[in-house]
Amino acid sequence: MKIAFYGKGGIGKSTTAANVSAAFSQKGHKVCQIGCDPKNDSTRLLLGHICKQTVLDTVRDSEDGEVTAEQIVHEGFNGIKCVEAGGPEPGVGCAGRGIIVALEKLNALNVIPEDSLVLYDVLGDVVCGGFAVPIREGYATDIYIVSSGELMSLYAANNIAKGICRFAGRGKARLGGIIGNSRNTVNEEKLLKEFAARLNTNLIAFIPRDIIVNQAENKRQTVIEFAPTSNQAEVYRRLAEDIENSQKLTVPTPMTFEELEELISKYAD
Amino acid sequence: MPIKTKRFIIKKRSCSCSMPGVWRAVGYSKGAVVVFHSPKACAHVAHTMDINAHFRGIARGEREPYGYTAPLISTMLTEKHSIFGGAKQLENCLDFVVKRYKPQYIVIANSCVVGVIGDDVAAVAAGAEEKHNLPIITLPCYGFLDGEYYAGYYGVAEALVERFLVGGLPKVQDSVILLGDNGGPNGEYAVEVKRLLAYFDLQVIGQFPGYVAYDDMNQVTTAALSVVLGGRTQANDSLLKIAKKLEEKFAIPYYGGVYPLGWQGTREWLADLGRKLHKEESAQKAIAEQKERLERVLVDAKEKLRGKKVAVCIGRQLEYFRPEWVMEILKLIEINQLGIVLLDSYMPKDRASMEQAIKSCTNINIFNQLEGAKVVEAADIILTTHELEAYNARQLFLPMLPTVGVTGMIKLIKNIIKIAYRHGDKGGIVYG
Repeated sequence: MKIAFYGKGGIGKSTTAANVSAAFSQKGHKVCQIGCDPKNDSTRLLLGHICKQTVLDTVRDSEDGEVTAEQIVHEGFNGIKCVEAGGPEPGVGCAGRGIIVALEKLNALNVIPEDSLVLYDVLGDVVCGGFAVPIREGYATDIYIVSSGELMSLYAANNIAKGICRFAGRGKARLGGIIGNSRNTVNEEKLLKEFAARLNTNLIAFIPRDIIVNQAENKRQTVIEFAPTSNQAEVYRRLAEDIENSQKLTVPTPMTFEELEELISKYAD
Repeated sequence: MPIKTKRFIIKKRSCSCSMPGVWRAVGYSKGAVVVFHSPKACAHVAHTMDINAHFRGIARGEREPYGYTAPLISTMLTEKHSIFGGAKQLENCLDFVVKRYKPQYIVIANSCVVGVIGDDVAAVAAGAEEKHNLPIITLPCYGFLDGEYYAGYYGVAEALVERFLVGGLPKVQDSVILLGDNGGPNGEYAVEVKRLLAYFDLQVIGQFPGYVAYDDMNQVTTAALSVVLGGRTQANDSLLKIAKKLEEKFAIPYYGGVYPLGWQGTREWLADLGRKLHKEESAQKAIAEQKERLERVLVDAKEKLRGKKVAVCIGRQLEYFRPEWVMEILKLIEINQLGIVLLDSYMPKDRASMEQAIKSCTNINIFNQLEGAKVVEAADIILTTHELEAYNARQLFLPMLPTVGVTGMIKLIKNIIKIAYRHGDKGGIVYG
């Protein structure tokens, strides 16, 4: 199974991805989480620290451009394999090109066992071709979009749906669903359900806002590790279960911006 | 037998890289070093251009052209720079260039990669300029993204005017600065123009931008006149802008007449220049002497080419090849013209433009490539813009740059005679 999480920057993709990876690993799956973000923070909660040896940093620093799997694949919580693509400092270079090169390098090194469940955690919006690579080149087949009920989060989600729709004709990537990550906005769950329906998909989970997520993050842990018996941990386990059992993978039907605004105003009061 | 050419390039529009233009603009300016902020391979175009120019010069019997060729250094961007940015690489490269070549100024040309990843080249250049106390010129041009060689050429020329040229110096009477390239100071073009300018007692003091040494930049503004070595293409537009800038900033009037091209063109060029300089008598004297010189050659050519049949094959866009000067020469030598064949390299619109241009200067029949096969077979001599495969055809390859002035006409006429009198049944090609 090859999954990718997309969504607006700061919406909680990495937190959700790390917790879902942790939940999968506890179900007995071999899991590999690949952070596709130059910030390198996708796997922080699994490794207990920011990943220092990213794919691109390692390639850059090696004299002949050659790297080994051991240099770039790190073991995190419960045996989860953690990889960070890495990339340039803010404001320089091209992070999108970095994603392309990093994924090609991973492919060439054949570092991901066939029987692994792979989860790609991709930076923010699909801002350029590089960030569409996990969808476009068949690295991921099941795409999940993390979104709150806020306008710009839904706007980004709708744009990502456009990206999936664009590449649906040439590959296997399909939309698996919307993962609601609550920001406690008015009628948030209802809005997200209708939003998902309008995109021809489901709201696969609605993750309530809980202080325990912040507490776990402060300890550099997933909720699953930090508070395994908590309700929030159960939410993530259920989400992992639903993703694993999901049968509905669709070609999304994105909305126009005007339609999106209209939908949001419908649930505003 | 159908006409087969060796090479065809069908172009919908002009597209080129600005980087060779940057290099060419200071390529022989003593004191300059050009840095290509690019992958290594980008440098090969300019490198090849330099080598080709060198061997063309030798083939034409020009003396070794210039004492200085600006080193061309590539920052050698690789994949990792496209990801992490190439600013540091550029900084290191500039340090290396300063240490190794001790230039008086540096010009940086940006590649497509730099345009896409958005390296802050201006900031790096400003930092290096301060560090090394050395002028470093940058341009907002990014390889093929700009789509034009002349964007680079003009950009550098403009930057040199802004950075290095100072006003207030006394003018040197009857001095001329040539603007543009066209093969450099020892190329046929510049040599012929200098010869014609001598009729007006004008002395060329330099050729800007590519051939003026850093230490001589101030001399440019002492010129009493600038003469554009242009044509009808984009080059001329760019050079005219530079000429106007020199006029505005340094009160240097310019003469931007299109090429002394063909007899008609040469006569007009001389007459116009005479009017501009209020030296109409000098112009008339020059015209008379050039006419006499040409007529002497024409008498001989008419005699030698009597009974010979010629076909003309044209496949270049009008932008790169004007047919008028060729038609004029054929008319002057009174050779039997079988027809003009337009090769299959045209887009419909370009073909129509070329047809119109041909019809405006001759009433010789025009054929397409298929129809033209018989015309070519029947011809003793073929003047062509594209080499034909036929091994037994006697071909004169028409140059991209027209031959200039009466000197150029005479050279072309002599080449026509040369190919017409090739021994026995031998074919072959002479490059015009």
